[in-house]
Amino acid sequence: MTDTPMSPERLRALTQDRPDIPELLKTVAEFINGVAGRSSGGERYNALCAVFLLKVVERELAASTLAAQCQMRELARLTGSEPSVTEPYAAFCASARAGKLDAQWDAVMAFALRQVIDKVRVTNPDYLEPMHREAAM
Amino acid sequence: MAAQALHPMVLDPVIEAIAARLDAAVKRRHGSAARIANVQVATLGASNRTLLFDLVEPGGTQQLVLRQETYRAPTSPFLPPAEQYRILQAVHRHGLPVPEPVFELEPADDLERGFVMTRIAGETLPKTLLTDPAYAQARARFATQTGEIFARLHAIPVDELPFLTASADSRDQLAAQVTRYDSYGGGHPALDVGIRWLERHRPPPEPARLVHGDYRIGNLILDPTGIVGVLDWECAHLGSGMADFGWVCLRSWRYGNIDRPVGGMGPRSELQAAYAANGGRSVSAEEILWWEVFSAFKWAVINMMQADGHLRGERRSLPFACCGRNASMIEYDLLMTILGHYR
Repeated sequence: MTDTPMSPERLRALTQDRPDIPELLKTVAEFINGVAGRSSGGERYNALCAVFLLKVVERELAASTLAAQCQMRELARLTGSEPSVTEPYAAFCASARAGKLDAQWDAVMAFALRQVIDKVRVTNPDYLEPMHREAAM
Repeated sequence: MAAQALHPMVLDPVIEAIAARLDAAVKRRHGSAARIANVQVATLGASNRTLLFDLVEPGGTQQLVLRQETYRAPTSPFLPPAEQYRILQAVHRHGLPVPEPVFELEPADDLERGFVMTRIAGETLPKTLLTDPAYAQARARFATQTGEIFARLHAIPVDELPFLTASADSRDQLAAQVTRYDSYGGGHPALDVGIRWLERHRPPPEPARLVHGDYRIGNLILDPTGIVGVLDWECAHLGSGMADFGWVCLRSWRYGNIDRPVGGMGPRSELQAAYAANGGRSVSAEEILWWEVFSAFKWAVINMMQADGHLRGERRSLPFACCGRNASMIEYDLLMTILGHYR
């Protein structure tokens, strides 16, 4: 076992049985949606939160590993060293905050925006402005 | 903060127990003929439980509110109830539209820390306020009324609230948020880039004002004529009054009405004009911009705090788990605001 998260391909390869992971998530979300429809107040709100979280999991599993690879390449270029496996953003964050990347500010902003867009695509893609919805990962 | 409105519900055993102690508390203060009735859970927010109840006495019935602290930690950014109560007293004394403070809880009440205040009739739900035709006039007045309220709030002599000078937020708002951000793990590229931008563009210091700190739809009571109550003073501090400008214009509080920056209801120009017309100083859009970026940072950190409470097990909650992921959307707003969007 390693600390590195398994890729969606690896997760899917663990078993050939159906339902697979996306189908399991969909099944549970359907059930909780039903609970939300039959409840009110705090229970309904919690059920809607649970459905939201399941959709985040579904999108994160489906997210392309290409986005992460692009981010790691850009991090290495900006900071001048390979990103840490366990805390890939730590060096960038420390350098940006300390002003060590001020000379390449536009590239720093562009990277931070790209990283956030990748995250929002997982959390709630509809939140993004139209110009960021279809851009290449 | 970040109050999640819940519909009034059937009382659970915890609320039943609180109601019994509350009944004893009012009897201690108002005599044995007093009793409570119609207890409802109004909201369970990030730091408080709010119960609505009637105080029934032989001479008549009063509609009151119990605010109980539900989150207490050394790192909590929220003022303790005793300080909130003193702020409420001061602001009420100066005639701002706030609930009247009635009594503070004491150890003998066995109700944790909190206070009781009067209930102001009206609506707090953002969806209703932003869409119901009955609130059209209130929406049209919102930015102007907010400017008036800010001017009156920021004119309150800060030496009436000396205890506020000790808070981290009163000393340096940005430093206080950065410390909290680091305590929740830090490491978000957009937020560290945001910190750097904020440091490089800090506005010049100015005289300290009493700042509400969480003035937005959801923490305001409106009736069809306009704002009738300003609630939730747990983020109050001393500092630039522009902090309130930035917070009310944050994209999150526009609820989708991005082209109406002031609470999703009106333009900044009306806010600025009403502030100046009521004794406040002239405010530029550039000043508000810094505070909007700062507000996005602060709101992202508050969401990280909620997720941290969930992950540490202190406050397990599905909505708080969602907060951890919602931070990404606020980070997006922060960067987009720096880049000139949402103006």
